[in-house]
Parts: sequence; structure tokens; C-alpha cells
Amino acid sequence: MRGAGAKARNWALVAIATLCGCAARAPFDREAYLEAASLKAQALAVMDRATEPFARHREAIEQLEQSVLEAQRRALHRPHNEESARQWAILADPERHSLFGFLGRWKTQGQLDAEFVAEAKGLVAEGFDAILELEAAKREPRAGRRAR
Amino acid sequence: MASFRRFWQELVQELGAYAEAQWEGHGAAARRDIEAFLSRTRGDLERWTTLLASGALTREDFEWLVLGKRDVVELAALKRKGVGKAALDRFRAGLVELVVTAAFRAFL
Repeated sequence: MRGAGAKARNWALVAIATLCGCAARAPFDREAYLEAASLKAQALAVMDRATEPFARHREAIEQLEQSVLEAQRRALHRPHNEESARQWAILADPERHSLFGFLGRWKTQGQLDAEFVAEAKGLVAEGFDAILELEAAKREPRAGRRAR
Repeated sequence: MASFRRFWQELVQELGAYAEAQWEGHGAAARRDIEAFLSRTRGDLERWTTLLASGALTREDFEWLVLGKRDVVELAALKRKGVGKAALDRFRAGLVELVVTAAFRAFL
């Protein structure tokens, strides 16, 4: 019977080493999720002011940019987090047509039309939602379902 | 909105031809990308073309928004890829539990 027990332990060890040794993705990070949710709210609030002169809101814009770049850096340094890091990179790329692209256009044009701002806000909100949904998907499933 | 319907039909046809011409040999993948883009974009395009026609959006605004939608589609694709990995991890975790439970049941 002891031999059978040792065999079972070996089985379990081999299975765990083989299957758990290579996680495909970063674990859920509550701080990262809350930070993304907060940045979404901040970004949309700043975008709301884009019908006014850029210079009047320069400080809030620069603060937002710094916070987004910080979130991007953190995402980049989490292991197995490539997709989230690439999502932040799109939002933070002034050459793309997401948050930083919008801020760049605001800076260049001085101020933007209300219709354009409303539509662009929808796109940036969708971008943040994609980041939030991916982070949420990293949560472990609820306990209680055990194999029999 | 009859004019939007015509615009949409022409756009779908033109994009299909564009995919065939630009990605010879990868037509199926290109078509899938285009279909994903179109299915996510139709409602927005309908609104944006109305705003463009009324002068509420400029040509540059319209172009920026379409490019922005392309970025949203890419963000969504990255989400799907990441969610797939998360599902794979959950599958692996469940597999471990099954293997361990089966081993204990068989040998202990």
C-alpha cells in the first residue's frame, strides 16, 4: 500500500510540474484593474474639455499622460502580460488614433468640435473596456467546483 | 438611410476585392479580419456618415474616427488573445486537479 501511495504522489508531482510550470498569462492584478478603471474615468473627463483651448487644460492633460505611461510601464513589467502591455501601448501611442492620438490632435488644433469629441470618447472608452475586460478575465474561477 | 445601405454594399464589395488583391493566398484570413472590422463598425459608420453629410464632422474627423475604430478592433483582438490564454491556464489548473484526484482514487 505504501508503494501505491508513493506512486500516486509521483503522479501528482509530475502532473503539477508539467502543467503548472508554464502559466500562459499573468495572474489577475486588482490594483491594475482599479488603476485602469480610474484612468478611464479621468481620460473621458479630460476629453470632455477638448472643446476648450488645449492650453487651458495643459496641466490636467500632462498629468493624465504621465499616469497612462506609468500604467503602461507597469503592464510591460508584469510577466506573461504581453497582450495587456500591447493594449496600453496603443492607447499611449501619439501616432495611433486612441487616447494619446486624440490629445495630440487637440494640441495641434487648439480645440475640437463637440461632435468629434463625443465620437472619439466612445472609441477611447471602448479601448479602456478592452483592457479592463482582459484584466478581469485573469481572475481565478470561484472556488467550490472541485473534481470528483 | 437608403444611401447608407448603398454605401455599405459598395464598401463590403470593395473591401472583398481589396482583400483578394492585396493578400493573395491569405484571402480567407484577410476576409475574416475585414468581416470583424465591419461587424464592429457598421453602427458607428452609419452615424459618422450622417454627421459627415450634415457637416458636423469634417473629412479629417471622419478619417480619424475610422482609423480609431481600427485601433479599437486591434485592442479587442488583443483582449480575445489574452482571454484565450487565461482560459488555457484555467484548463491546465482543472486538468491538474483531475489528474491528482484520479491518481489518489486509483492508488490510495
